[in-house]
Amino acid sequence: MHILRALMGTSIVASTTLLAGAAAAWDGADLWYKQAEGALPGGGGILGTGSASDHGITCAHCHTNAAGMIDLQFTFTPTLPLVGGQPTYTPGQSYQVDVKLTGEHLGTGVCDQYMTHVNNFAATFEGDSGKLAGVLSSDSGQTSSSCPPNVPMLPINGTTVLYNDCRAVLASGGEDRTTWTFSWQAPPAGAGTLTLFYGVVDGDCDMSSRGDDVKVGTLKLGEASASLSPPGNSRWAMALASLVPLGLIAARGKRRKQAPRE
Amino acid sequence: MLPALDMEYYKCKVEPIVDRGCSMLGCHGAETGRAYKVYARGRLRRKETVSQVPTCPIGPQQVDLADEGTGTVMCVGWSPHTPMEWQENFDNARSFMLGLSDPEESELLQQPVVGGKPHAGVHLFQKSDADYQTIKAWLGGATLGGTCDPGAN
Repeated sequence: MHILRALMGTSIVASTTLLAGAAAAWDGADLWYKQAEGALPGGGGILGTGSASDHGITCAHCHTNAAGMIDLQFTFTPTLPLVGGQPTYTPGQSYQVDVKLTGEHLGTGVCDQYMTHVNNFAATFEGDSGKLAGVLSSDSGQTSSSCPPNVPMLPINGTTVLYNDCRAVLASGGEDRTTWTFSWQAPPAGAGTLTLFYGVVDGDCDMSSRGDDVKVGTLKLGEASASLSPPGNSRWAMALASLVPLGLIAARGKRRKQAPRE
Repeated sequence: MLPALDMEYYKCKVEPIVDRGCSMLGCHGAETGRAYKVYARGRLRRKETVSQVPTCPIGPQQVDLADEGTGTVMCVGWSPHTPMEWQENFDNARSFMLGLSDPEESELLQQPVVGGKPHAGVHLFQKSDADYQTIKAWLGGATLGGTCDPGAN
């Protein structure tokens, strides 16, 4: 008997402060890096964000024929001010990032006894180098600056995880979750414009990557110059950002609890 | 006639690369619409009747692998490649050497390599990467020198 987990989907929804596209992911926190040909086939380290480090592969490459009804919303605290219509980050600034799936429409009923409803997402920030820009931290205790090799022991006390190469923040699994939280410390000055790559999957109860809904997307983040340093979470910034939704992401997925494989 | 390449090398060295990077259902894990097709566990499974895994609590004894096993690692989707899946994967991959003598002219390398053909924007490796070199060696006639044990695959 093995603990079975299903592929999951993810999507992203835009929010008033900062909204982007979405992507999909796996439902078990350990599946992201498991070998694709292994005993329990996993993603082999392809995390589906669509970034350069994922070779441009997104959640939608596995979760096909998505209905396109979900979205994903990112809220940065402090807010990313808009400069010339583009959200900007302050070099070195630490941000809490709250992610919310919207439009979930699959698997909202009761799955059968072998299934668990899990929504997931993955996200990363990259510059032109195709490498992680800045420092990611999960809300379950890992950080990319001190990256643990293995997935955290269960139960994971948080909505997100980082492990292995820590180049993307990943949903930690968990049933019926539609929100995730992580932190991002922007890189030092000079990194230039960065891209937030993300994906979310809204899974159903069939434990298959078929039939899920998916959203993948990107969001460009400009680097604030000294003269344009963002006013943090000032009312001005929040008010301005709230007027210009930039994107949406939503994600979810489902997985089975335990089911015999062999 | 397909090139006489080594099936054992393919199973142990090449298949893990294409399972990981090529076999997604929206990519080469598709029965139609692609010049290259890969069957992989958890992704596309072949249309054939197989026995359900004995510990699966659901379903009949004989099931359609494609219907029940595609896109999932549950039950029969977890089962190893069938002999026909191995053969078709092997044949599909080695067919890229038809009429060629230089592996680097093969679409199996030219499409996914960074700096290669467009390939829908998906590029998996550099020419210096181990995956590229492994596929190149196999297309060039490398042999495993023994029988491959693919494990659960």
